[in-house]
Amino acid sequence: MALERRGIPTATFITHVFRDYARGLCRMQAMEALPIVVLAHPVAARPVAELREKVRNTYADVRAALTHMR
Amino acid sequence: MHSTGFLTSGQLAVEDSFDKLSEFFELYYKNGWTDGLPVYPPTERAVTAMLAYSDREPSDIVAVLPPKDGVATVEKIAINAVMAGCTPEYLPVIITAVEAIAQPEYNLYGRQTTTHPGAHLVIINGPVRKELDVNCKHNVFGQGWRANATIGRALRLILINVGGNQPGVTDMATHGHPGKYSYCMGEDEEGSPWSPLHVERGLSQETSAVTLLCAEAPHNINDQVSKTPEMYLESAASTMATLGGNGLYRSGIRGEQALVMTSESAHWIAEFGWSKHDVKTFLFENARKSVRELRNRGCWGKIPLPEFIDQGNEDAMVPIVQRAEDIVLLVAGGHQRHMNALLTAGYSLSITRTIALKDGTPIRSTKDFLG
Repeated sequence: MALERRGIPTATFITHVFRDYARGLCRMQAMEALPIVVLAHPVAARPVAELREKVRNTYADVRAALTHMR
Repeated sequence: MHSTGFLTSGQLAVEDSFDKLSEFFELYYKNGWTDGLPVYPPTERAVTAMLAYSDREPSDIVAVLPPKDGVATVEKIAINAVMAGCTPEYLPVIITAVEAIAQPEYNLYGRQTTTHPGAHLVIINGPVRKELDVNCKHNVFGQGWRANATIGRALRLILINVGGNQPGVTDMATHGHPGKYSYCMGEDEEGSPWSPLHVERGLSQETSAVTLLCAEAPHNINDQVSKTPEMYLESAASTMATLGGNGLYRSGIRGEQALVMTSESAHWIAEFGWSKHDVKTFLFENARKSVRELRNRGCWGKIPLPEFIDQGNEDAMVPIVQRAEDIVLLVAGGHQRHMNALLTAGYSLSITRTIALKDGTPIRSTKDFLG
């Protein structure tokens, strides 16, 4: 949020069980448009191959987050 | 809802009857305005009586509380204090606690929203402890004292109703702990051979002060038979440096970990010639685990180890804080040689504030507010 407020594009990663929480915090901070990239939960201590697959699925969202005109 | 002259908060018209109290409780619970327990009705009369113990205007802003960035005015604080069951004399302590918790070093945004089970421990020092009958001794973290039960609760309700704290919505604590209902203690200054916390931090013994420490639930350390301070404090050090604790993995950044010991234990240690600093230094040097034990578990790799630790040396011993001074040592509790470790996430620093009049003059008594 602090970076976005300074005009620096960001992509904030969150796992899906924290999606509503992240959106709620964005609303509270008047930053509804903050680009959030959602990964499938869980990610802690998961096999590398599984993590790569989860991250690969977010590429389009990351690209959109970082290139979206604000 | 409507508001009246002196107070500006919205008001609900409810039937003034004991029979209707359960409906009042249900209304407040359903609106998410409580901690789950019944609350005292914050009537205009009760809130006005509470406000007598502040020399500020009801609309004066004490702090802005994240994550909602809600504005904690004196009036909002008083309303939540009434709801928690506080007596009006407690208000200066609660206002000071709100000032403390909002300081940047405390990192309230992170502490309100984290998965870690930190609760906001209100530590009360100085003459106000006696005046308000704050428990410093037996069952200090338990039930039985109105001040301890309701001051911590008032702070929790303020964080809910002003700061936007909602479990599972903004408060993502994986488990939380019971101190999130109320977490408040006094230090047993009269029973301590050493300077109390607020004096360590530069205030006079006669000054009343509030310290906020975001801590996990107390973890008991029972050592009945050690014959030397070293042996006894090794039991504490072992409990404070457990593999699952945050401290071992966070000591690369400044944080604090706390230990509470009884008057009996503190005097016994002092009889060996140990100062408070000696105890802290011993805990700093002994509450450690080796790099070998820590590597690739817990929170390994998230924060760099302290600069004075060689990460390539498997036998290097990693501390739970950066410096001995970052061990918070408190004297409280009843008889016997129990201690309690109050471990923290390592992402917050405790804050001590003087309980003062609006102009900054430290109070001698809460009666100072009555003019």
